Order: sequence, then structure tokens, then C-alpha cells
Amino acid sequence: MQHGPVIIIGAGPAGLTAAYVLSKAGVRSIVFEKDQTVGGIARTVNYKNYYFDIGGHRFFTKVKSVENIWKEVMGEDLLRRNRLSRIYYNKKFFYYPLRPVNALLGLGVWNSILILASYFHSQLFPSKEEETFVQWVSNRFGKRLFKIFFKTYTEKVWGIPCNEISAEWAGQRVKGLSLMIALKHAILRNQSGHPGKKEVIKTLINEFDYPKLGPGMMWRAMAEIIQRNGSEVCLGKEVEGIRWSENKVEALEVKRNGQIELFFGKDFISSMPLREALQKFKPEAPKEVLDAATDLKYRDFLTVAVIIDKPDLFPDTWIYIHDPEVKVGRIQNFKNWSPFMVPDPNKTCLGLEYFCFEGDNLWNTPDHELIELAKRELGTLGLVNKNDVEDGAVVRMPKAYPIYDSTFQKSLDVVRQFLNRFDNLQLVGRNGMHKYNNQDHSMLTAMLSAENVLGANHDLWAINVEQEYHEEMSIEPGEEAALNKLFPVVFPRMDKLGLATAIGSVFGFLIFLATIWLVVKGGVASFYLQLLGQYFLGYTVTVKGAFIGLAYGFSWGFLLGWLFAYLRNFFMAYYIYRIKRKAELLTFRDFLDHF
Amino acid sequence: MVAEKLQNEEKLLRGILRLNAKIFGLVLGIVMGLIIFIGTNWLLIKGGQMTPSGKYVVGPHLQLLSQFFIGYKVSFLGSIIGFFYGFALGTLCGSAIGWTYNKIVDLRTK
Repeated sequence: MQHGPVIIIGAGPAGLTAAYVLSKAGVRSIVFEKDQTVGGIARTVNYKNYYFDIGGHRFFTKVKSVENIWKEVMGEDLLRRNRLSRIYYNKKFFYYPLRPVNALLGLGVWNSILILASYFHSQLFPSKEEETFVQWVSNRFGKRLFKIFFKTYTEKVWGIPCNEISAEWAGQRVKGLSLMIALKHAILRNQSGHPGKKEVIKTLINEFDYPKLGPGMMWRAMAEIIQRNGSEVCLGKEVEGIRWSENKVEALEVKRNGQIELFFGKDFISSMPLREALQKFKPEAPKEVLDAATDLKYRDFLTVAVIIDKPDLFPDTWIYIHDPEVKVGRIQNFKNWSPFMVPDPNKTCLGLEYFCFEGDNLWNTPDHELIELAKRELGTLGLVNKNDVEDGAVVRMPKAYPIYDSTFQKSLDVVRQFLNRFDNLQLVGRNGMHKYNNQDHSMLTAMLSAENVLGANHDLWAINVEQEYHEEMSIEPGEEAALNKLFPVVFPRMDKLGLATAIGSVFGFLIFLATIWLVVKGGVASFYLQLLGQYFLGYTVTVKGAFIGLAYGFSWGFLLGWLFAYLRNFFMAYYIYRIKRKAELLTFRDFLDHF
Repeated sequence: MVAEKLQNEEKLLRGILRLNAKIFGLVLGIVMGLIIFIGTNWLLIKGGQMTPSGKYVVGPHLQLLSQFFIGYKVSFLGSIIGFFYGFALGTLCGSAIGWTYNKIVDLRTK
């Protein structure tokens, strides 16, 4: 493939990573960003030297190549931080997955009993219909736990009542949850041959890396490197049109100083929201494609950062707010992400995150009113005295999350089918692909797109991020193959009748042979074998007794074999059930982490 | 991908376990051999007792195994002989159980 200037839309993690990888390979690129700053939704805002992150971006990955880039760009400025993120409900902190003592102390004995009763009720009498998110979660965790730990937060995140969210959506969130993978992890975790793995898992869960001054520091540094290497990062340049013909994108129309300029390129990489990109196609994309693109929806959010005249408030990096009486969904404590984010150690900077839709009442509320709302809610939650809040700032972030509603997949398929015709256009990043990519996977898609420009042939859509995020550790290919062989001989159920008959036959036959042997040979042992008659009424060491012994032996062997197989199947099923439940619980932690 | 995953899970949950008759036999053989070996040596370590006739006897009841296992005695050499007998009998029984079980499963799943 002939190399030339590559045109990249968006200077978020994906766009910049693509430009970075290309610049290292000596390929020039031009990055267009409509905002005046780099980083996209992973930017860091500086307000009076208080740095705050939009959404909280952990630098946590299992993709080695992504980790290498972070280290390469940040070097010593990448800090290793401890993670603590709890649920705040009713003025108390809760760990997730729930820890029994913490839950008991937090919820109270009576409430805990009611939760347990509700859980067992849901297990014994599950709702036969599983059409809504409420039914789906309640069937798994009980109604009471659903109300406390899922309902409010989910409704805050998505802005619609839980009974209007389809169970299909919940199922989709856990579609990456594989019983096979959960079992493999459970087995590997318990293997004595992997002493280090437990530590690795613990580390992955409890620690993450973070740039001293927030993720924006990373993207600013990366933009500088890109420019030093001869490429361009153009800020404040909005793409107005994407010109195409047949199977090629030919040029971008970019607005500069009120004038439209054309930028031609051989390869194009886009991280702009898919819906927006399709609407900028010139000539227009076919109507059904445009309709499908319009059907792709996003959830937006705004952060109200408040500066508080207190050195310490709580040890968490962020907390989830499940109280229904406040609108705030999550609170970031930026000083706990990095102490360098706050210029004065006697102050704390909190980021109150409100999920909303661009243009709704909350979105349009003036900044000073939002700051007042934040103060009030901090007081209501009992976290901060509103008089301790000194100052505040508001940042609105449109299109923060692609919405996975009941029609998005169909629409996305239509859009992808249309875009497949372009052999010089690649889509990357969270909004670029309308996919729940976190920062590291956005970067991965960009890295692969850059490699494609250099001649590789990666399928960017094949990166299974949902599944990856449910896993706490990776499985080596050798281990995977061994486990794949092991599973069919360990986990299937045992045939009770088969084992009972087999053991009964062998046991009966042994008694028969032993008796016949002594009948033929004679000797003192006959007396002792005769003692079997105490249990097998009618048994004697005679030929007739041998047949009676055969029948008794078969019967007892049959019973023991059946019982053994039954118990073995029961405990195996219970083991599988436990692993599956645990994986489901962890999936919901991922659900919390993702938003 | 998802279909394949579900198929694998289906196989796992709906499948019926097969026994490897050879391995099952081998395991049962080793277990039975060891039981006799350890049982015999345990009695040797523990020591015997004097009979009213003044004879020193070790493990008279276990000695009865010699009625079936010719050459077996409650002695160290006997424990080794007993191990081989136990191993042979266990292997036979285990293999027979495995073989019979698999045949029945085959019949029932046809």
C-alpha cells in the first residue's frame, strides 16, 4: 500500500493513538479536532490549577501494546494508584460485590434479613416472565437488593424507568459472560501451579495507573510527540463534510476561519460519532443508511467540579450514588486519583457527575445553578457541609456513552454494511464505532487501524471488548487448550443408572466368585465370609448362597453407585451454579465500572 | 461466536460423562493395592499378640486374604505380594465398571 498523509478525525485517545503509531512508522498524518483541546472524553480540564477528569479514566489494561504506549509517553509521570470505589447509599458506603459484614452493618440486621428473604423468594419463585430489566435482575438478586443497588443508579444512568428497559438489554450487557470462561478462571485460580495469578488478579482489581495530572496529560504529551515527528494536530477544526465517490473517501471539508477547505488523503481514520459522520457524507448516504445512523443514540453527561475547603472527605477514588433523592450519579474525588490534581493539600476537589441528554433541562441549566445543585446534594448526602464549598465549574460532555437500545444493533449493521464499501476509511474509538470501548480498547482499535494503513489486515470490529472486560485475567493458549480438553471429561453429568448397574454388576460378581472359590477350595475363610449373612439374609457359602450373594451384591452396589452418581452430579451442578452466579455478580461490577 | 459458545455450554451441561475404563481401572488398582500394602504394614508396625497357645500372631484376620490371594502373608514381602494382587483385582474391577458404564451410556444415548 502506498503511504501518504493520513487524515484522522478526532484527537481523542483513538485518533491520537492512530497518529502516534503512524508517526512512529514515519507516516505523516493530519488530525482534525473540533474542540480546542485534545483528549476527547478522556480530556482533563484545568480550572484555577485544579485538574479534573471527565468521567474518571483508569489506565488499566490487559493489552500489553497499549500499556507500552502509556509507559512510553508518560514515563515517570504515570503513577500507580490504589482503587477504592464503593456504593454510597443511605449515608453509608458499600462494597460491590457485597461483603457480608459490610452489608450487615450498613443495611442493618432487619434489612439484611429482608434482603436474604427476598433473594431466597426470587430463587424459589422467580418471575416466569423476564421481559424487563426489573424482572431480569430481581430473578437473580431478589427484588429488595434490586431496589437498593440497581434501580436508582440504572435509572440515573439511562434516564428511563427500569421497567421500560428490556431484559434483552440486560442480557446483552452480560452476553460476554461465558460459563465456560468463568469455569476456566475458577479452575486456574485454584490451581497450585499458578501461585502468582491470584496476586495478578488482585492487582488488576485493586490498582490502576494514572498520569500525575490526569489523562489529559497523556494526550497532550502524545500530541506533542506526534507534531515533533512531523504530523499535524489541528485544534478547533470541525469536519463539515466527508466527500466520497464509489468505494473511496476522497477528501474532508474542514472549516477554517469561516472558510471551507478541502483536505485530500489516501487513508482516512474517523473517531467522530458514527451518527454525525454519516450525516456529513457528501453526496448524502442512502436514506435507509441515514435513518439507521439517526437511530444511533447517545447518553450525555455533565460534571460539576467543586472545590472544598477540607483536606480529606472519603478515601474512595469515586463513589456511586444510589440514593434516589439526589440527581447526582457518581462522585469523583480527584485528589485520590492523583494528589497532583489539587494545588493546595488542604483542599479537595470533587466532580459530581450528572447523566442527562444533550438539550434536556439539566443540560440547559445555567452553570451557577448547577453548582448550587451540587452543593445542595452534597449536603443532602451528608458528604460535605455546603458552606465548605468554595468554588465550582461545569463541564458538559455530549455523547459520552453510546446507547445499546433494542434497535441499535440492527441500525449499526445497516451503517456498517454501507461503510464496508470504503476501503480507505476506518472507524475507531468508542463513538466512532458506537461500541462500549474503554480508553484502552479505543486505543487498540486505533493501533490496528494504523497497522492496516501500513499494510496489515485487521478486522477492527472483531475485538471483543465486552468479553474482555468480564475477565480478570487472561488465559494462556496452552492452558486454554488443556482446559478445552479437560472440560468434556469433568463437567458433564454422570449417568446414574449406568454407574449403578456397573458397580452393582462388579460388586455382585465379586461376591459370587469369592463364594464359589471358597465352596470349591474350602478352608477357614468360609466361616468369616459366612458372616455376610448377618447383612444379606439367606446368604451362605454354598452354590445357592453364591447366587443369593450375587443378587445382594448387585443390589447394594447398584444403590451405592446410584447414590454416588447422584451426589457427584449434585455437587458438580452446585459448583457450576456458584461459578455462574459469581460471574454474574462480577458482570454487574463491570456494569457499574463502565458508566 | 455466540452460537458456538452456547453450543459448547449446551454440550457441557447436557452431555453425559464417559469414563476412561483404562484410567478408572488403573486408579482403582492402585488404590486397592495401596490399601492392602498399607494395611499389612500397619499391622506389622503395630505388632501382633500372643495366643493362649503361646504363639505370636500378627493380623490373623487379614491373613485370611491368602485364601484368595495365594502366597499372601502378613509380612513385608506379603504386603508387596498383596499390593500386586490388590492392584490386579482393582484394575480388573475398575476397568469392568468403566466398560459396563460406557456400554450402558451408549445404549441409553443411542
